[in-house]
Amino acid sequence: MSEALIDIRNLTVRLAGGRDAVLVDDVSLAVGKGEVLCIVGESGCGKTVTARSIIGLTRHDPRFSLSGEIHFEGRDLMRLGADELRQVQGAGIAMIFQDPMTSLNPLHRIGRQIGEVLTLHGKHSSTEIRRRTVELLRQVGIPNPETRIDDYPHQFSGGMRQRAMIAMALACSPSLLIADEPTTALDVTTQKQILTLIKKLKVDYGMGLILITHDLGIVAEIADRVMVMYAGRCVEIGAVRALFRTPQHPYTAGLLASIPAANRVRGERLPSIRGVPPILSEGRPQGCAFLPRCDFALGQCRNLPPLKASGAETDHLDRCWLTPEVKNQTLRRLQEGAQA
Amino acid sequence: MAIYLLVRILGGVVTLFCVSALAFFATALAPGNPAAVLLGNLATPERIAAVTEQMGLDKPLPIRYAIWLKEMLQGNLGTSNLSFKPVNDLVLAALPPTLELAALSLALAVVIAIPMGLILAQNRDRWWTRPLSGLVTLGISVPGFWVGLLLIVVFSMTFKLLPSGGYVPMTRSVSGNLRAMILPVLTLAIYLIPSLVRFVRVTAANVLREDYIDTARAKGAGAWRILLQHVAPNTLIPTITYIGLQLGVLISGAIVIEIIFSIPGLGRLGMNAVLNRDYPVIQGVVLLAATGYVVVNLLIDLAYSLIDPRIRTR
Repeated sequence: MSEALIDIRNLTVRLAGGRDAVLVDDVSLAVGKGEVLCIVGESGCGKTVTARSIIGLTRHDPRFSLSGEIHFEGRDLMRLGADELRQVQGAGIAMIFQDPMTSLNPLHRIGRQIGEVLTLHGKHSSTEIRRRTVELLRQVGIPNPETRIDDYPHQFSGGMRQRAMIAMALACSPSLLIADEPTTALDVTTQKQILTLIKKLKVDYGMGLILITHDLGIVAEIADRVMVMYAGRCVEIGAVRALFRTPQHPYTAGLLASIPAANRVRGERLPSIRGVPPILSEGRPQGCAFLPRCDFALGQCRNLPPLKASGAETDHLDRCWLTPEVKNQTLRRLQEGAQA
Repeated sequence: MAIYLLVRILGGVVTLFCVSALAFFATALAPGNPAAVLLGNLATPERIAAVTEQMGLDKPLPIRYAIWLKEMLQGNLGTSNLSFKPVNDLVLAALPPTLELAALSLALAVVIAIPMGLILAQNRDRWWTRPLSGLVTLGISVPGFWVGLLLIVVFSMTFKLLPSGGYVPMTRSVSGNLRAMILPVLTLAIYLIPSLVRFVRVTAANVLREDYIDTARAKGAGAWRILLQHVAPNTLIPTITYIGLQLGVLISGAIVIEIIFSIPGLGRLGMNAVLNRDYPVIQGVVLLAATGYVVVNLLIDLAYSLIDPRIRTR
C-alpha cells in the first residue's frame, strides 16, 4: 500500500444518551488507491456502522456520537461542514447497500435516481445526464438501457436493482466505493454475477473498495487486505494471505475453521464458535470482548490487549495476548484440523 | 385497469344500495308518527289516520321501500313532510354552503397539516417539535364545537371583526360570502388539522427510516431535497387514502359547525329533519352524504394509480 486513499484513525461511534454503549471502538484503517479491504465479522459487530460512518451517514443521526479522524483526499471528513461533506458523498465516496429491494425510491424512475447523483454533483444538461445514465446502465449490464432507464424499480429484478445501485454509485466516478454486504440479499447465481461486476468495475474505474461481508469465500476471492471486527473492535487486520494462513486471533481462526468446505471429511461436525457475541448496546465484558467464547483465555485477558504486530509481517496486526508461538501452533492446528 | 375500475364502481353501487336500505329502515322504524308531528295541535285520531293514508305510511314497510327506491332511482327523493317542497330542491339549495364549507376547510387543513407533519417528522429529534407535538395531541382532544364557540366569542363578540354566523351566497356578494365563511372554515379546519398532522408525521417518520432515504443521503442530497423529493411523495400516497377516510369526520364536523354558525347547509337541513321526523328529507340527506363519500373515495383510488407507478402498471 503506497499512498492511502482514505485513512481512518481512531474512529469511535457511541450510542448517544446516558448508556455507555460503544458500537465502534477506536477503529483505524487505511485503504490505498485501487485496493480492496474487506471487513468481516458476525452480525452486530459494528461493520455496517463503521461503513456508514465513513460516508457520513451516521453523522447527523442523533442516536450516535462520533469521534476520530477520516482523512480523504487531503481533508478530514469529520471536520467538514454539512455542505462540504455532501460534495464528497456520492462524488468522491459512493456506497452500495445490502438490500436492493428497498434501497431505491419506489416512486422515481431508475434513470431519474441515477441522474440525481449527476445533478447533485454539478451536471445540469438533461441530455448529457441521460446519455451518461444510459452509458452507466450499459456498463453494469442492464439490457436495453435506452428503454429500461424509464422503468420504475418494481419493474427490475433484485439483481438488476443492485446493478442500478452500482450504476448510481459509479455515476460520478468515485475514488472509493463502500459496499455493505452487496450480495447478501441476492440469490446465489446473482451473487456471483454482482461480485464479478464489482471486481471488474473496480479495475475500470481504479477505485479503492471497502467491502463488508461475512462470506469468507468472497473475501478470499476479492480482498487485498482484511479487517476482522468483533464487538465493535478491530481484532485483526492484515493482508489476506497472511491472515488466512496464519490467523493471529482465536476469533479469526474460529471463523476460518467454520467455513464449510466441499472436500471436508464427511460425518465430522462443522466446527463453530461457541456462545454468542455481546450485544453492544448493553455493554460488553471487560478486557478482550471475545474472552467468554475463547478456548485459549488467560488471566491477562481481563485487560484489553493492544493492536500490535505479532507475526512476521509488520502490517499484520492483532488484538490478543497469546504469545506468537502459541498462536502459530495452536491456531494453525485448529484451522488445519478443520480443513483436514 | 378497466376491470379494476369496474369492480370498484360496482362495489360503490352495492355500498350505496346498502346505505339506502339503512337510511330508509332506520328512519321508518324510529318511534313516532310523522302524521302526528305534522298535525301538531290539530291532531285527532281521525285526522292522523287520514294523513297517514295520504302520505302512504299505512302500507307495509317493504312496499314503501320499493316505492321509495323506484322514485329514488328516477332521481326523485320525494316531498318533505314538513314544507311540502320536493326534497330534491331542498337538498340542492342546502348543498352549496356545505360543499363550500367542506372544500375550504379541507383545503386549509391540507395546506397547513401536510407541511407541518413533514417538518415535525424531519426534526423529530429537535427540542422545539415537542411543544408542537403536544399542541397536536391537545388539538385532537378538543371538540370542534368548543373551538367554534371560542372563535365566536373572540372575533365576533369581543372584537366584532367577523359575523358570528349566517350564509351569504357567492352570487350575491363574494366578499360577504368569504367574510361569513372565515370562522366556520377556521373551526372545521382546526378540527381536522391535528389528526392529519399526526398521521403525516408518523407516516413521514417511517418513510425517513426507509433504506432509499439513506441512498439519497449517500448521494449527497441535502435535507430539503430529501424531504421534498423523496419523503413527501412517499408520504402523500397513504395520506390521500387517510383524507378520503376522514371524509366522514368532515361531514359530521360540518353538521355541528353549520348549526353553531347557522349556515343553511345539508347538516342543518338533516338535523331539522331528524327533529321533525321528516323522513324523506333525512333519507335524502343521508343518501347524498353517502354518495359523496363513496364517489370521493372512488376518485381517490383512481388518483392512486396516477401517483403510484406500482399500481399503474397492474
